[in-house]
Amino acid sequence: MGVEIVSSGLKINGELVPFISGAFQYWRSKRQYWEKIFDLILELGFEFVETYIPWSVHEIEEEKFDFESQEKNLARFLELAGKKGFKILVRPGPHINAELTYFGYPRRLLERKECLSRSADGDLVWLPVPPKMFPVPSYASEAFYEEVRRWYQAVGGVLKPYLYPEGSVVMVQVDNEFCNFFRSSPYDHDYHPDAIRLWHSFLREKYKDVSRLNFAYGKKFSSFDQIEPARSFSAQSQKELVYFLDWVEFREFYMQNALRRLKGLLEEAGIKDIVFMSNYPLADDYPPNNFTELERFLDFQGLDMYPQRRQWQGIKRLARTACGLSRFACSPEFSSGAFIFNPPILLSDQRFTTPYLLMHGIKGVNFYMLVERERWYGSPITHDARVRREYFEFFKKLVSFLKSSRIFELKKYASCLVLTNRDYDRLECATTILDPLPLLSPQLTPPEFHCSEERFGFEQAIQLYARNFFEAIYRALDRAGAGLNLGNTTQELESLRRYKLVALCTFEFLNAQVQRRLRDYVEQGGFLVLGPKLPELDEQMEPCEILKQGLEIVDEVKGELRAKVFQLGKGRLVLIPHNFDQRQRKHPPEPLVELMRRLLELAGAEPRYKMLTPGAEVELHEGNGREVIFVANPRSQAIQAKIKLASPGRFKDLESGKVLSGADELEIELLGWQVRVLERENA
Amino acid sequence: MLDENIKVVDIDALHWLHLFELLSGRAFDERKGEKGRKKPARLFVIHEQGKVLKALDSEQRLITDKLRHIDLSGLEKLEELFGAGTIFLVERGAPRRFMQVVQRRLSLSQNYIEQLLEMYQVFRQMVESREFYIHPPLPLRDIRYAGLFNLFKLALPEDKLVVLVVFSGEHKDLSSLPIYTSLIFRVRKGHFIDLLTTTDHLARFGLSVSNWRQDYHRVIRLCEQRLGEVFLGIFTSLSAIIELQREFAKQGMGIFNRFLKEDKIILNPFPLRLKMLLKMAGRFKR
Repeated sequence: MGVEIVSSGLKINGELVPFISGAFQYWRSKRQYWEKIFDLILELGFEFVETYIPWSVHEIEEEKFDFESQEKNLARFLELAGKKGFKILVRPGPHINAELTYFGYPRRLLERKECLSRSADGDLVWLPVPPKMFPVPSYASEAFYEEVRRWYQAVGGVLKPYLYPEGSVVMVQVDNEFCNFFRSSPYDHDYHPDAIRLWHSFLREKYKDVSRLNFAYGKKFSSFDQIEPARSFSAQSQKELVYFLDWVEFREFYMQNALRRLKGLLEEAGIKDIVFMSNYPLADDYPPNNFTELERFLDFQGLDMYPQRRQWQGIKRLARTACGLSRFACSPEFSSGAFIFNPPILLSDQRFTTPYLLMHGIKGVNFYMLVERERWYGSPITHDARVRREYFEFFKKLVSFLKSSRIFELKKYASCLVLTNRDYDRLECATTILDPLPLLSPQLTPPEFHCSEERFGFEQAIQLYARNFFEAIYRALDRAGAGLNLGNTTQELESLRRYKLVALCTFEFLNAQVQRRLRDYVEQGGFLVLGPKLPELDEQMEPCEILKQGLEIVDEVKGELRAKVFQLGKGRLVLIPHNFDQRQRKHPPEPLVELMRRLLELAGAEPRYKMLTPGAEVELHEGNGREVIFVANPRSQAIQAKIKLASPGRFKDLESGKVLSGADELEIELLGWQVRVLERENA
Repeated sequence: MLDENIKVVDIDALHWLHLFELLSGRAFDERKGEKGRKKPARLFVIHEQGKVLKALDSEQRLITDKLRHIDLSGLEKLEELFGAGTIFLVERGAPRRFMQVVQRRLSLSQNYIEQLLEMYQVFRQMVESREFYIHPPLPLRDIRYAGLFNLFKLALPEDKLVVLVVFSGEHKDLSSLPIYTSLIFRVRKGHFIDLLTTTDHLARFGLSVSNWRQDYHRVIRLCEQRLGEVFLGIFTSLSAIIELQREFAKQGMGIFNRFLKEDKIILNPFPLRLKMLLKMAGRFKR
């Protein structure tokens, strides 16, 4: 393949091309402005542009498409972009949102019932968005795929001559922000007859034989087709949970099936041998999203965000999740301006959020929108090729900085990985009693707000407590200054091995394969931190002590909060036998932070640069014999930050050129909401 | 009402931010101190025919073990019991029933306001039947689309623009004009709003402002040249808005007449129907 994705960008014919891209939607700017807009984008320094290709705009009547007239002339747009030297990311949907009425679907499609999703009660599923609510399509419906096939064939016909290597289109996005149209409760939709068939085939694929399913569920079905889809949560016992956990897993499968099919249809339409990617609208890898499974057939998946600067914690989480889970840490939509109904995002936000995103490890960004358009505001270039001067200068400086510093070639130092537990994420979703309330992110809808409080025979209601443990550990490691990424228990052993310390929450049950993988990680020399319990059951609630077997306690970490240390093969397993409450999710207790500092020492995973000033942050990026530190002040007051150095050093501010030096400590002035980037001389 | 293909274009980001701030009152000095005001205590309950499945206090702490059962005929007692200023009770399954009824009523032939009102009506009915219980009770009036539409028709004629511009010498917008915020919308035939924009749309046609009391005419002229006839133009300054906010509580609607006389607010064009309305309001105050 002439174009491939690597951790620092795209490799095109062996040459690294950073993915620093900007969105320009051709059909929303008059054709007479296209060339001038491209020139302005070039002036900003961008070499990548991105555009959606809206089905609803190009389809003038069923099976009749207009790709030629005026602003609809896609070929002309691609040709011009290529001529100007841009690489192109295209996003032909079918879902594109783009703040278009009907999200880019032609209205006639939304009038074809056989193409539309169904609720648990069999009704059409409406998306309550302005300026018009509409019923959403079913991504299981065969009729819908037949429609999409025709659209892809049409758009493929236009795109083919412009695909790499003949043309400049090097990347394609499959659908857009797939999350069941933000209506992600497991008992909301889709119950289309084809979706129910898909459920049965999922069960068939998972259990192979119905007797195995009967064993897991404690039932006596004679065929897979007898198993009804779950429409609301009603489990009373551990054994009954298995069916609901399967249902949530199926919802992930539904998404994977949809994106896999769409990728296949794109290839069938001739769009192939370029990079295939997808995006997710939130910073979490949470059902129905599943990075691990999606990246088995996509080149990468990225996370979108439109943050104001006060949402810096979310930006950090997004970057850490992308770094921990994707082969290319990317944000395919990061704000440049805002959607008309969003809270205003201003340049003052952008000045902090963008370097802060890079600080935490993001290597590729598509700024959405670089060219302002209808229903969007606050971009550096307007739809009619005017320039918003301050915004324009900001991006010009940013891109120039990225190109000269080449920080995307470096790797963020991360010695720790905190895993979310997919079994418990699924349990949180499965036990919701407030359906169809969307469960897009546990940050937005925390478990105590919607989960059943039943214990199902466990010592605690796992669905309520797992999040507390995970968050407390994550925040405590963060406070301890650990170089850290976020991952998931679905990850392969290979990706765990990269970390000196892996932490996760475990209660009584845990998927047998995950237990095996974690045990392998420890036996091969890893340092695993878990708690509050060692699992004794598998995902079918059958006895399973893979992780617990043969553990011998060798030490105890003493302090206000104690932990037990076990030797296992070449590595160590640490059990923190404590529960944390909801408040400690955001504010981990000091003894836990202290415990984490001790564990980082024990694991040899301490940060190489320690921030000594509370509230300020430092992150190390390294590679090619270089060491670059990002220092941030995510507060409004200016501070004088102090960083502990392992050895004396001189540091050059990559923006101002100013040189700072320190023996044991480095002092650095930070304005409110500022990120500074310093390179160590003679690293 | 809202056109499904409404064009929202040339929105100055600062105008938009400032408009949000004006609407939420954040632009007024005297309100700044209120940011950290303590919120009243809250209680959130999910129940199944009175059996409490979940109860959360203001801090989102689970307090289900303190409230096992609620008497559905005496919900008012909850307020005394928990000292909660706000109580929200949801019967398990009610959100799903809400969506079920709403989704059966929605149609693509409705406009967005009609669709919203369908949702509102179902919500209102479910509050009445106490599937959702909210305390203090919300004033959920019976709002019908026809009534709303007639009111809209009465207030604004077809094919005309409404223009609002708030000037401020201290605040330059993205086009470097001394404009704090602005909003321009057009009502097309059938009484649908089909265009929403700001004075940023006019900037590229050479809008300039030095003395707003004179230059507002340029805004009107450019609007008429580019977008359509202006039905109502509201031109004022940020300082006048702040003063208005302060004095409104004391003088009510009558203050508008004073501001108009003093040119603190300029209404131009000033349609007769609005003139009469203001006159009546002024008399009422006296």
